[in-house]
Amino acid sequence: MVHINTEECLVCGGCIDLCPKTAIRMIDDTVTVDNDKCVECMICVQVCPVGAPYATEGQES
Amino acid sequence: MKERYDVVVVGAGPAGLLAAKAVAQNGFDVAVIDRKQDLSSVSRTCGQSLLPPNEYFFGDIFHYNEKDKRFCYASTGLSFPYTGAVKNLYTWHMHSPGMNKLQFGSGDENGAPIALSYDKEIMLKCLLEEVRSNHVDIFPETEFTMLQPGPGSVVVVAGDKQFQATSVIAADGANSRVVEALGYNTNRRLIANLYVKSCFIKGFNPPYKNSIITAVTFLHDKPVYIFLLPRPEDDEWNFLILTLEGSVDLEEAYTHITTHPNYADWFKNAENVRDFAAIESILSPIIKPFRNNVLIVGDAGACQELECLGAMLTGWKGGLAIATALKEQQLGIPPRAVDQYSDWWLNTYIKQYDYQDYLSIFGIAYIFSQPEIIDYVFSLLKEPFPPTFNPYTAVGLLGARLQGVMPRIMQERPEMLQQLAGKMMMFPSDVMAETLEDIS
Repeated sequence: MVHINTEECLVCGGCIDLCPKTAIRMIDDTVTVDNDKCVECMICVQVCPVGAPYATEGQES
Repeated sequence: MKERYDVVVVGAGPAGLLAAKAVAQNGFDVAVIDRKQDLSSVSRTCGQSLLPPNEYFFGDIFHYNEKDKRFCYASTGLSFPYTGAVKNLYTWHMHSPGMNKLQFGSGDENGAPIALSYDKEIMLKCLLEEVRSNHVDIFPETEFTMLQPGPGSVVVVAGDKQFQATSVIAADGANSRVVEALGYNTNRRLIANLYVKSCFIKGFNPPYKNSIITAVTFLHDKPVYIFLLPRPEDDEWNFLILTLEGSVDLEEAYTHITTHPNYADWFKNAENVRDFAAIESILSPIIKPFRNNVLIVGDAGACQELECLGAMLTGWKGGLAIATALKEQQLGIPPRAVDQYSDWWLNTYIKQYDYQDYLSIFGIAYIFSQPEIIDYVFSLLKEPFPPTFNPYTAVGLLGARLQGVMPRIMQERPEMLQQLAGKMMMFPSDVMAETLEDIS
């Protein structure tokens, strides 16, 4: 699972643009990962200028 | 249910809003969609300076009409209100890692400024008001998902909304989703990703007034670029840290720069008041900007993301072209407006402002490759250059001056010249590709 630390995120939209699965969206001006579409390629984790996206192991309820 | 429009514009930035204005003021129905909720808020890094009011740029002369508080393009006739403050900037100071300096402009504040610092949020507010008065329908929080081209029309899918339009204008920026969806990117070369962190700072102690200050420094042997631009009001500065290196931690770079002996004095009382960030994929430009009834404008099809002025001009011209094309269709006369725009796009926007020249500015650290060599080259070019903040003009001036000092380099540093010779014959994009390995 990939999540966005909203405390860190500056909502620049870079990860939204670069996500190959269009799994990241802006909802209410907050960046959100749709983990049903996410394939955990980690591009967002790599490219974020402020390190806001992070991965956790396995499925969450 | 599908909403029907003559034109759908994707992206409510400066290019998209001016495209919408151009189409709508010719009487057509226009929708603008954007993923943001608050369309005038800027959360992405931007230099927030317009350049250069002292020469032709993209075939026009941009200026601020102070009397009427409008931004104007004299030749195209485009103008729109801007009610915010502006600050004229006159000199560009560019520093090598060892603080040798190149200076563009003599510091004379009686001449024309080389750039205009402005407030992008106020400009966006003014543009939004302008297009609303032209009866454009604006859809915030409406993120482009996909396109369904059909004969004579296009369906734009944006989440659970659908729009049917005769034409679409893609103005969704450097990492354009529309361009990706149209398949353009398969033929473009990804040169690098540009990573940026920036902030507005108060209490900055500038070494020069009304100037743009830039510097290149190295962090763990990787080049990092510093841009400092005065804000139009309140003694604030816009402090940008840029790198092409994915391995550079920009937070670490921030600490490195603000505590580094070269710059620490500038930042000793500085207080960070607002943070921004950006990632930009630098791709080779799009040559033919019209496909499947979709017209590309602004950064969506260019390599360079630097020039808001160019983006606005392509938005405006693209909008006019689409409005004219719709009239051509109504009248049943042979189409030519889109071809004319495409010619202008290729011959002026793309070719006259070659992306390789733009990349040279970021390529300095890669072409000269070592801090010591950059210091040496800068030390040979101390004499001030003519005033400019136009990267294309600056690269030309630098190149010409460098040619002139070649005999001296040959005499003083023959081994360095040999090392440089190969790289200086290559395209900056190739030099970068050779050095950068972490392009994803």
